[in-house]
Amino acid sequence: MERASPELAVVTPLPVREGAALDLDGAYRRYARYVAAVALRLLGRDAEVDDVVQEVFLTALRKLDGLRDPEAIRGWLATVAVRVAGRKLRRRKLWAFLGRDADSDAAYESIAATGATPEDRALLGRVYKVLDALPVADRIAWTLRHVEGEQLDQVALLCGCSLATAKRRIAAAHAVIDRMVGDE
Amino acid sequence: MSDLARKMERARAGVDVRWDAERERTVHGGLLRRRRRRARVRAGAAVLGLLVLVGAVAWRVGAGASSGGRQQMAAAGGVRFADGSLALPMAGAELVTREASDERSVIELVRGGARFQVTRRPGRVFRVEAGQVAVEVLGTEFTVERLTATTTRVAVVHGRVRVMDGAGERILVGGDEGVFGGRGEGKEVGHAAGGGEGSTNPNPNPNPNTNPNPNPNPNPNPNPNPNPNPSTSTSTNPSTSTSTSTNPSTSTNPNPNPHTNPNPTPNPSTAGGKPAAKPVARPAPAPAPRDWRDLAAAGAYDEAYAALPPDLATVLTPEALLLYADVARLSRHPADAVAPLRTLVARHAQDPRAPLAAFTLGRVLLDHLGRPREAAAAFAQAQALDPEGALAEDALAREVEAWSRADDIPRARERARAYLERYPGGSRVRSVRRFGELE
Repeated sequence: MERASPELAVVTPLPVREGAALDLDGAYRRYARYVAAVALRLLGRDAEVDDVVQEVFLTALRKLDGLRDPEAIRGWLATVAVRVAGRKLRRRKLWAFLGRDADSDAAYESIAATGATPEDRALLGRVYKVLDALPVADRIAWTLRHVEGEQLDQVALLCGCSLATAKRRIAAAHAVIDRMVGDE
Repeated sequence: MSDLARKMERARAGVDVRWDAERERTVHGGLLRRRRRRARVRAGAAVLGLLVLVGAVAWRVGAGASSGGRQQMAAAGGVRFADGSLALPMAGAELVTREASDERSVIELVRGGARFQVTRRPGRVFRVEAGQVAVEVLGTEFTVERLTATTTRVAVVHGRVRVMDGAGERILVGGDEGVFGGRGEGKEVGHAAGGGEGSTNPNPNPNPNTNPNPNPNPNPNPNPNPNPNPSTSTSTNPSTSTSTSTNPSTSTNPNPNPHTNPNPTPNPSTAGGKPAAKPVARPAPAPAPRDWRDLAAAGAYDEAYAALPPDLATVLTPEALLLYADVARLSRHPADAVAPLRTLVARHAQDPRAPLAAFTLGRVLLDHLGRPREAAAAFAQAQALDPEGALAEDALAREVEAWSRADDIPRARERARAYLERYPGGSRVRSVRRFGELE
């Protein structure tokens, strides 16, 4: 589980002058795809990704001046993306509770890339259906660990919680998903 | 690793966002639009916040800056407090609001003097501290003036105040005034206002030859109608009642001619079993100021009167006009106070001191000059200038009294009814009923 996320391979950092701060456009060009990928895995719905990307970079706008290390910017954008996605998931649950979630029957299989096998596509659809029923905090921790492929300490960092809490959340979500999906 | 974990490790490789140049441009365009919209919202919020701030500051200033803090008050400007009370500082005066709440207002007079018009509010303490002297308001209008570091002159225009210093406390009523406070280092505390029993001054009357006999009614204009109003019936006219006058020009020489008046003259209005008040010599004054304003600020009203400009037209500001009138009144020349007061009311009707000037004019005309019809008009003008002000109730009550003294009973009755309708629980109901002959 030490592998990096596939998206890391396609992010090609642009050359940055030593010590130069990124502006909004520069940061967007460099990290928009990465942020979009994180958002897609957390949300499971492609239609909500653009909104999260915009929100993340608007939030980032205030802090970009103080960040010069490209890797620090990337990690920090991921943290912001997790926070924004969490808000969106909570709002989605509220709308679902009120019967106003228009995309409740979304086909999660569609998030799979075109080259994915039918089995993987079906598994993703089932897993995201179960994730919808989990507490948002547990869902995010499990998604970062098992869909994003982050290490445990990075999951804790991105979730803004302790390592023990991250483990507990992942375990709680995993037990439910394993029971609902694993036997199929 | 569980079976699910293995499956997810394989499946997640197939999760990918469809992110191409077209989508990147579209999202970027939306990002810029949202950025501009947020900037506009922030700018609007900033403007709104600024407007709220400006409004709050304006309100605070209008409310008299009732919060704590040191204020150097301009001589020409008054400060109105949140409850409607008004402080009218003299030139160079400095006031500090020490406490301002619904129950208690404490103002420290650091230097100079100020006149206070205090709105009546039961249960609220309005206190002015000046060195060793503290004045608590029981009535409505008074002047506090720091003469030296340790002595303070308190003059009550109308109503009642409690004055406290190291030697005890005294109640002053309308027309009373006195110098309070001591010189410290164990020396005696001076009460020039008292002059009562036990006084070390055998003759607190600075003009003993003109008043060899104790005069229980110091008012030279005897009132045929007994006035039940405490602020007037017990009023000690400073222009004539030398027993309570604290004119510094006399208090520095408390007994200019002791051999001609071997009998002490107790003050009839204050010698009522109160602790002995001992006028003492005031501290050596600073080099004598020449300007009448400086003399007045130092409490030397006789000298200030002698130095008054012959032409009133040269006295321009409301503050100077009011001071001019004070000098005339307190140096026992009430007739000379009429012109500056009339000028102030006529030329500066919008000034916050105009109602006070009109009211003072009414008092001078009624109490000192025996011109009740003109006094009634002045009191009516005081009400018209500030119908909701601190003086309005007293002005109406005194208008009733003035019409009564003018033997115009129908007018007195009419104004008395107006008072009772407007102030059914007012503090002057009894006197108004009597003067309006409604009993």
